[in-house]
Amino acid sequence: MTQQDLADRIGVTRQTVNAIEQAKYSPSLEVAFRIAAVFGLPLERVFQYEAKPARK
Amino acid sequence: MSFRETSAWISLASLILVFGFYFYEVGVALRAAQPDPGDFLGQYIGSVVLVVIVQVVLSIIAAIVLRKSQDVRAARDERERLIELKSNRFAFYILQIGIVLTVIAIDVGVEPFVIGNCLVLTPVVGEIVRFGGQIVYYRLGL
Repeated sequence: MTQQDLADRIGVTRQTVNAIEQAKYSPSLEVAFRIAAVFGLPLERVFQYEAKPARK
Repeated sequence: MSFRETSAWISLASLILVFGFYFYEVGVALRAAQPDPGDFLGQYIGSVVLVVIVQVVLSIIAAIVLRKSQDVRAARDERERLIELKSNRFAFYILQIGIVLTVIAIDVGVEPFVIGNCLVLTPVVGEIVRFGGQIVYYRLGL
């Protein structure tokens, strides 16, 4: 599946899919659920949260 | 490069070029100490019209060049709307600072020609910051 195919199916631009892939943009919950639904996977299989180290 | 980012570059470049020339002329007139506000009203209006024309023409060319890209016709998505909102916030800060500085300039008795050009400069800088902010967010992410 191309970025454009995914973008069309979840209702965003190809650049936004690219930004999500490169971790330059965190999508809204709605878009995250739509992406998970496209791949038929639970949300936590598609997205993982990595906590940033706390500032000292 | 996406059509939206291209549009931001077009807007930024046209503002810097056209109003850069305008404020260069203002600076020359101030140095000569003989500014004629009447001349500059016409030049200001001309600059605004020129910016609009340049932006429209270059945007049409960009749309033709990037016509195969889906985002030329697509509505703004959530990321693009967020980028616009965040960039607008920076521009709003600039407007607030510019207004405060202009009021201070009026209070200390700066000549009207300079006050008028502070009022021209404030939204121009605000727009430059707005489009610059959009480009930074498009490039570096949110």
